[in-house]
Amino acid sequence: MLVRPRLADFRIIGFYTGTVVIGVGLLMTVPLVVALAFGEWNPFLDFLIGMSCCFSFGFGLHILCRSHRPVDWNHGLVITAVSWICAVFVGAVPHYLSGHFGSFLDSVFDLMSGFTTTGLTLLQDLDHVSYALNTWRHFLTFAGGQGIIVVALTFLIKGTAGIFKMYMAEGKEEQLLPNVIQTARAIMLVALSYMVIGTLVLTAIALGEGMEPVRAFLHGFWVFLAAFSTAGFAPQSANIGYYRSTPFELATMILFIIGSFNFALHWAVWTGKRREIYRNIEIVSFVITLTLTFVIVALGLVKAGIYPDAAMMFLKGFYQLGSAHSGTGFSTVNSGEFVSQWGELAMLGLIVAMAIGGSAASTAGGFKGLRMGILVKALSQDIRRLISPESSVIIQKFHHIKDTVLEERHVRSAGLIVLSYVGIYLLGGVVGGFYGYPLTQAMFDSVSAGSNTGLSAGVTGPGMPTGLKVLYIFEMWAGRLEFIAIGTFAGFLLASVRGK
Amino acid sequence: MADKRPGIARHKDFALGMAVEVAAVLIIMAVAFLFGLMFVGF
Repeated sequence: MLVRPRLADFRIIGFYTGTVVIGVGLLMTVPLVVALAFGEWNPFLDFLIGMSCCFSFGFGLHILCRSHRPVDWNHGLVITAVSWICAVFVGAVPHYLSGHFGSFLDSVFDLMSGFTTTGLTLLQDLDHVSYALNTWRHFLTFAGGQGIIVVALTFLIKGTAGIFKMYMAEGKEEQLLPNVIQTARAIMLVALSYMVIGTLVLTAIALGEGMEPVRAFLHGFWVFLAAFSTAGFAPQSANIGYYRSTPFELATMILFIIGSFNFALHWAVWTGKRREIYRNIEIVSFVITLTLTFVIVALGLVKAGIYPDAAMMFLKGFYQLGSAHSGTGFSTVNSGEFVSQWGELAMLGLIVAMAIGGSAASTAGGFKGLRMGILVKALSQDIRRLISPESSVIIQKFHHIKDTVLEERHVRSAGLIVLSYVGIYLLGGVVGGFYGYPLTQAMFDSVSAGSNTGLSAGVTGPGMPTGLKVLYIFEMWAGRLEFIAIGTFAGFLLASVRGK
Repeated sequence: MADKRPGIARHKDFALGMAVEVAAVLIIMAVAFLFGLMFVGF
């Protein structure tokens, strides 16, 4: 029997959603300062209005839903799902006011793409975007990558029991430290440390390539944010191909692969458990699937005969694959080349890589290495059981931070989430086909949206059908939150209408 | 338990951890790329 939520439940959800939206408004301080520093007065006003909208909405919810009750376990998942939607809609105001988007829906698409670290965009005339808007677009990938709930937990929210559910609902099932707020702060520590080092390295390379100092710093900062968050946004329409620099491409590749690692793995390695880097099931899974998908891509590219030497194969073929597999979406070729030059076999390799994605509890999307590893281990256990005497007990273990005995619940959970991802990938592919796009391209962009990758084979653009824009927004949201929060939110809505 | 060691020891651990991760990524890239090329007989 569905139990109808009480007014107090709505108030708690509203109160914490307000807190997250206030947090988004506070994040706008960064582009506001950039606009002020560079004398970009129109963007300055856009962000001032955007901040006002966030604060009005957030504080309005605080006043309307004032509640001193702690968040319990039932509220956490719904708060996360609702917070993401509200943050995206209210946060899209500066985007829309910038004049670079054809409609408010296009602005919402870009914001959802940024917050979910996808990287697909409907922005027009990217090469002439203000410094402030570029900073905002890249900065929100960083906030979304760590999790806007993690950001809020770090700076705005005091701990209660249901806070762990809010944190978990962002696709981060693991606690690095006993306390969830300490965990959120540890995640921020890792991310901010990489931010300092990564920005310095990329800035130095850009300076070495002849870019003037301020631009070199800004490009280094923006590209770092998009790389480590596995987001794929770039300040120029040619994406990473704009820089025409092998060291820059290599540095971004290292950063986005590191960004796709599990935060629990980062923390283990950073606190002395160095062997974790080669024992962890997710790293083993990543090495195997990266190699296998590269075999598919390489076969396709050899057949197409477009990259004659190993260096080109690495900088073009392997770079796009690494970008796809880590869920980043950076590219050094334009989207038309996938269709006109790469061919279907190489595109299939990228589709599989995007579908699998990076690690659990990271900024990456897709099935995740942990679930792939668990499913393969379960298959191996079943095969061993079939070929062993009936009385034998087959125990299968996997190593993720610690040795764990594989149980039915691990396999069931991994299987259900993978099935849900396959469902949204297929849904987007079928709807894309319905709108008249070739099936390979439709599947490519659908998997890219659902796995929060951001590579495009040409479907995604300002002229795409409105229905497909809405579906991709849903795919990005559902893929980022890994379905559980969305399902709970749907259940909450249903209970509100039909509950007793 | 939270790490109670002095800051400098923790920072050295963090820096070493970061270096291990970068080295691991380079090795992963090399293994996957070279194996892939060998497999297709490039």
